[in-house]
Amino acid sequence: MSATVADYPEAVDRITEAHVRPEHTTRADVIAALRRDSGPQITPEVAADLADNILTEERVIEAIDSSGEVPTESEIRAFVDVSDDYDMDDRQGSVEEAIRERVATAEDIDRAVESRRPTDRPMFREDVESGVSEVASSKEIRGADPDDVVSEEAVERGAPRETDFRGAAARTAGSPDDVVSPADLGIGSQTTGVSVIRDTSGNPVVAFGGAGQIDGRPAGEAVAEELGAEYAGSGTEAIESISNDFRTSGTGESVNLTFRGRAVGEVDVR
Amino acid sequence: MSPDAKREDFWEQFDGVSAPDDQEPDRELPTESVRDLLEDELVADRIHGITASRRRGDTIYLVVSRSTTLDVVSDLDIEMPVVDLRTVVVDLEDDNLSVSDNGLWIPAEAEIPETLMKTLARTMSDLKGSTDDDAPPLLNSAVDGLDVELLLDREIAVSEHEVGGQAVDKMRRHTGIDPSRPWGYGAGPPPEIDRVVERLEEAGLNPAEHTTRLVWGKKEPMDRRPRPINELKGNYGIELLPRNKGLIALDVDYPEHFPETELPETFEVSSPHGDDSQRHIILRCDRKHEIADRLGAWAIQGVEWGDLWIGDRYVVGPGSQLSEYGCDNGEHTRGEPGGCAECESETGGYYRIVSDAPIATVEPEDIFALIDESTGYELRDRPVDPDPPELDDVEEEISIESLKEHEDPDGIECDSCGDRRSEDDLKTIEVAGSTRRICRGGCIDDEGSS
Repeated sequence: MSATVADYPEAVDRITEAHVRPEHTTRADVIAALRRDSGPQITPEVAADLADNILTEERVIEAIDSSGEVPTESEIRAFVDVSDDYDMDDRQGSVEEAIRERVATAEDIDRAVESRRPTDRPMFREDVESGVSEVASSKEIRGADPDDVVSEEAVERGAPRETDFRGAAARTAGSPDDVVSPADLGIGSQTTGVSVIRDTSGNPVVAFGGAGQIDGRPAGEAVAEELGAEYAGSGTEAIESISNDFRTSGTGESVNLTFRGRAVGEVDVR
Repeated sequence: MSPDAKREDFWEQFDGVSAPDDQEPDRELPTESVRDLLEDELVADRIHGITASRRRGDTIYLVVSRSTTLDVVSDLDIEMPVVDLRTVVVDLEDDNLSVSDNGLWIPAEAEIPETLMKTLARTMSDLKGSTDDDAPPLLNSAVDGLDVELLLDREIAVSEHEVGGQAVDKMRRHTGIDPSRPWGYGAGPPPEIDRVVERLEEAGLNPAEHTTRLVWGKKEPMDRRPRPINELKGNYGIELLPRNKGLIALDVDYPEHFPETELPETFEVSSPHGDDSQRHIILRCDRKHEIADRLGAWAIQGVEWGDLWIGDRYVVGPGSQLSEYGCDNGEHTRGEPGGCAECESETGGYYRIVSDAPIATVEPEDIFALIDESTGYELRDRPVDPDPPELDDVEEEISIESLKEHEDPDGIECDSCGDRRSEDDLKTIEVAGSTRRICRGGCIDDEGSS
């Protein structure tokens, strides 16, 4: 292949210094500046060759995309540095500033996602999506597919899809695998079962439902006391109260489903 | 409301979540008798007897005695004839029959069940109250020449054993832990955990994300992994977490130097050393990242009154107890025998709640004011790296020398800074068709920052 102007660093320096200002940070800016200010020696081919080889935003973004990851704030400088083949310090400063304004960093995403962490319920993938979308509305997500970013952030935070969480909570509260009656425990004659939710160690956590009374109080309460569990009442109010107290803990592709601090099951994060 | 109506009412709250029995209710399914299902499920040469042992609602528990072979009931690949007593669960609500793992096998020799019958008969008498509570167990043997009483009196060597992942024998030999408390021996955390759970929930925080297991008798963490309460054993910590919202803690070691700042009443925990004025003040802040930005880190030390922790630290939970090996007070060294009088005592060494108030919320400005009134630290004027490197040890700071130690002389050179790193510590990128490498996380300059 025959040599081009890009193969002659002194020529590149001379032309760039004469016609291209540091604030011409994009390829289009460079070409426009060369065509406007330069003489007949700078043909369109020369201008394009220069714009393709000197440091521009596009060159840095191409490098970021090739890395396969969203860059961190600290990595931006290194991306800019290694994209500059002609040691143009002035251009490095302005291109770095332009990239920081244009490209989302891992810290931008982390802050946006964390700002959506709720205080009264578990964090869901939908919260993560909302955070990533907010970042994407003002900056470009480069280096990784936004959907992959959402999935990675959700797994890192143990944030399942809301439907998966609600389903797991419903299965735990709606059809508990443990029904104990006062008759079973020998504390009463009622045979109607009281639902018991146990933690993953098998210890009873909460009891609800039941029918009848024992010693002037609901049979379910007596069963709960006998088992050493909380009594959550009966009826739809009890089920609603229980449903609202499920949370998650842990991170990764499978997290604990917890009830009042105790692990009672698992939820997949996807 | 009937149980069915209650159940339907509950499921209606979860749109898109189908109930387990929502599928084709009108389709008629083929049926099979429980007897046939049981014979199909149980691999048996013969079923000797079936006993219904319990019923819970529509779930019935059966104990089935069958003749089969050892390879059917165990992982051993031996076709030895055995008699197996096995629990089978019949669920009439869900139309399900399952053979459980709850079973007992014995060799298929008539003398053995005959001898066991005597044991079962004695068991029956005990349960009925026909024998004295302190009557010794019935001893009998189906093995010729084996006297069970002589066997029980024989001495054999024992080794240290674990209960729930904790070295029980070792724990028992170390002084300074109340032996009457079961939680230190593979059981759960101290009862004070319930109060902590209440306070955290009150503050809108998930307890399972903030509690972590500590080493028995010490304040060191097992692994800094937040765990649900039911996975805690013995001493526990309350993680602050490096998040924008959540807990912060003031570690007041020198209360005489603590500024007279107006802080709200809040939850406070004292350590076993010193008096109650030396304590951890636990607060909540919804803009912790602003504090971290001004501090330049998630924790600072060297304030004249103690330490300020915003995240990435934990507070030892109340009810935790230090043994002599957990004591680092004064001249005592953690991990070495011999602690202070408090930690060597079985009734001492406790972390206690000294202010049982709800965890109060403060603003970053309140903490800035506290720092401004303290000596030993100055707040930075500009935000710094919001993702500072995690410190593995509270006492250690990352030095330029230690960063340089991370260089790998046999590694690959970063095309930006020239440092040599292992491949995992570099990112490989393409610039105009040529492969280049940069330090993962950013290059470290001569001043030690990236």
